[in-house]
Amino acid sequence: MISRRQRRSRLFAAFLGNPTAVLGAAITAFVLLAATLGAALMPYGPNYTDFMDLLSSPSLAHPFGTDSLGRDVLTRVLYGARVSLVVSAAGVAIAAVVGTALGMTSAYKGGVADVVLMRLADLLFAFPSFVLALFLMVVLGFGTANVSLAIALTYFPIFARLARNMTLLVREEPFVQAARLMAEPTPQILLREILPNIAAPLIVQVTIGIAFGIVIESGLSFLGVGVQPPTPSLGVIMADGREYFQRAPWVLTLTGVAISCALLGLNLFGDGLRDLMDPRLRQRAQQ
Amino acid sequence: MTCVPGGIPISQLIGERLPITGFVGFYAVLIAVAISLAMGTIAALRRGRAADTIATSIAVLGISMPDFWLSYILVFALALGWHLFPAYGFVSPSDSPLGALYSGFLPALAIAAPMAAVFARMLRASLLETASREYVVVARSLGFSAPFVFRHYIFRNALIPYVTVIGLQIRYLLGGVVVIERIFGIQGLGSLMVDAAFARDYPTVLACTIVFLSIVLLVNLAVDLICVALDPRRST
Repeated sequence: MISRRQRRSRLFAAFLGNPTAVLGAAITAFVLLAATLGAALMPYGPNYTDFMDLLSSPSLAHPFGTDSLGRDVLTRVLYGARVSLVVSAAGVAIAAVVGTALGMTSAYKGGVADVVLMRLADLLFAFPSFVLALFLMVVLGFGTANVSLAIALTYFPIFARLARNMTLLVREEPFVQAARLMAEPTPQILLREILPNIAAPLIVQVTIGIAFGIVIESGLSFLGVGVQPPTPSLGVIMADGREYFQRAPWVLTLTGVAISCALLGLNLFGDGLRDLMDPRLRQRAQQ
Repeated sequence: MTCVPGGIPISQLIGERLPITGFVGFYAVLIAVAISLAMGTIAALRRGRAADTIATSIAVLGISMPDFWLSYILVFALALGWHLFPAYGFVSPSDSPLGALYSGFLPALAIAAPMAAVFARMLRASLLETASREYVVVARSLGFSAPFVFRHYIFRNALIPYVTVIGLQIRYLLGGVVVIERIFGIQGLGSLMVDAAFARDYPTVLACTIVFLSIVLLVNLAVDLICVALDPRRST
């Protein structure tokens, strides 16, 4: 038997031995730091306009230049990254909690509810995700909070399906049967016995899901049906930069680089984590 | 049902625009398949060498580029920089098939590139997986040449997960079409849906959503049939 602390330090060593995961974690940490501390340290506000300094190219005072209203683009990108990250993370959090709860319960209980729920997930899964999100925005109304809701509704079937499949694998394990024999109430079995054993793939899915959410958010806002200006989000700034991208290409280009940075970090981190969680791949790496 | 502004039957609107979206989508899939077949095969054959590293890095970068952002880079470089392709506008395939291929290249490439990245990674993994199977080892030990083993033992079997992933990615492709059609001014189903969204034209938005859903279902049916053709064991 190995203790929990040993397991943890072993996992940490495996993490350090996986360059993808380390690089992804570093980029993600940098993006998070920039969106929180970096945004707070900027001398300008995200909506501070300077009409004497319109569409100026990148300089020391404005590293990303200024837009058509004389707003500092770097400041807006940092605040925008914050908005995009929060909107996406909120959506994915709702999706993860609701999807996991539904998937676990339906796998554990089985029966009609299971069938109905999984067919519903199949139905949602067949929609092109961006089209479904666009449709939901029309139904719910444009705006920041509804983007989160649209992300949650398009992404929860993935969590539901994953949680269901994992729960089916764990359900008949001896430790779950023991808990049942000891008359543990069902919610407690689900939360204390099953959830910790299926958490790893769910965490990987959260990381990848946040990247997915950022793509959906920026796409919707880029079209003008998501986050509404003047609130900066990465999609809003890109839509803005699109209006004058021949005269001031830096607005669109540098915002795009920022989006790619965030996505690259999250995707690499997710990939790396998945490799770490997959015992087959881990064994191969040790050989 | 008719759409709210104008009173034109929605079925007529969709009938006009579906072929255009179908053309762009199919074009994008062709480009993605062409790029990913080359990149995935090279990466698998040159595993661990420079070509593999480059192909895999391009694939990771491709996933991290939303298609609307990539489309502007393409416009910058290929349309505004080198004047190779038009930056905006699309010739309908019914007017001029060649013109459609030419004016549709940038939009199709912008949709295809992120997908090509996913496909190439899948193909690489699948080729490597298949190459380590026992029947491949046996074929090699019988003295068949490497190209022969690759063509007859590895490639065909590795295609099954690859084709399946193409079917799954159709969902993302159609999402990309919506945004890309807006950027390039293509009068397809996607721009119809976005225009309807702004006009609060609910019946048209709903109709477009259902048509997109139907396309996904039909493509997945086709993918299942292709998988049966590749692996006859699945027909039972």
